[in-house]
Amino acid sequence: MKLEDLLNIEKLAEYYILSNTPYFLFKKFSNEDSIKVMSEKFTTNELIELFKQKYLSELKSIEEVVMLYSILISMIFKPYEEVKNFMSEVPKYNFRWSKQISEIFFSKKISENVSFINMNYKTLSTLKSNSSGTSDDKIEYKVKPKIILEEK
Amino acid sequence: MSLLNTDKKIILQTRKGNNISNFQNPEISEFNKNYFAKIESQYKNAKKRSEPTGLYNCHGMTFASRRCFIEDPNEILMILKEDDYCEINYKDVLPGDIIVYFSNGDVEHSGVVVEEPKKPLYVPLIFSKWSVHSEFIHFANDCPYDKTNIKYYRIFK
Repeated sequence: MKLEDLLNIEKLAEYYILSNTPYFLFKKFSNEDSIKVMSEKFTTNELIELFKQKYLSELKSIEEVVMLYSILISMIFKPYEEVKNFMSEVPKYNFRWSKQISEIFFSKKISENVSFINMNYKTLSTLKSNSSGTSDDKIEYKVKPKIILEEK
Repeated sequence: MSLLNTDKKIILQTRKGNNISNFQNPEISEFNKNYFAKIESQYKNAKKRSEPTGLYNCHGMTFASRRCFIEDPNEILMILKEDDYCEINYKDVLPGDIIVYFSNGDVEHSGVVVEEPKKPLYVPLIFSKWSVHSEFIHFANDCPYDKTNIKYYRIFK
């Protein structure tokens, strides 16, 4: 399977040329359908191997450069546990934005993994001490929920 | 891998004297050139006013007099703060103000206003550099960058 046939190289090359920042490149590449398709066609190990081969090869054209970035960014669609070690090593590879792409990957994964939980604070109300009994005389306050941590 | 490396830097500082990270990459690969015309064809109303160069990008044009690439969004935020830029309402924009395109934490693009916006849409004419591609004169909403969070700035003194 040739990467050239799989990837929308022309569009990706345009994104690469127009990138003022690594974030723009990451965003555009990760939103490109052909990158997602590539991620589905190869296993994580295959992608890592493809990346290493491409990195070590002589990058003679913009298309070759675009393929290197495409392989790397396609890994963001793989399970985190499978790619985290490799992504942490990406800054060691000497090419433009390797460090930033790794950082963007981890920052996005962290934000995806943080959940905001409704802790169910209860709102209670009580009458003021000199109350006439109307609703205006009530004081509202929140009660912290009891959180019980259980060991598995 | 020389195609990808960018090591050359210059000394660049904010008004307050903090260093601004940057680089210069004067060589544009012959291979890139095939794509320049394709990009131009997608923005027929944008007028090209310079030739492609890797010496500077949009932020280098807007904030560093065309001397280098600035690509870290944090550096742009630092420049806006330390150079005393003030945000301007889109209806009050004047030629010489700068335009900044924000996108989910990124400072994706920037440029300079050349013609004040007109009612009812208030979309100014600007010029900006499209990464290693050329400088273009175009309406603020007619470019390849995210137009959903645009802000305008001016230095008053």
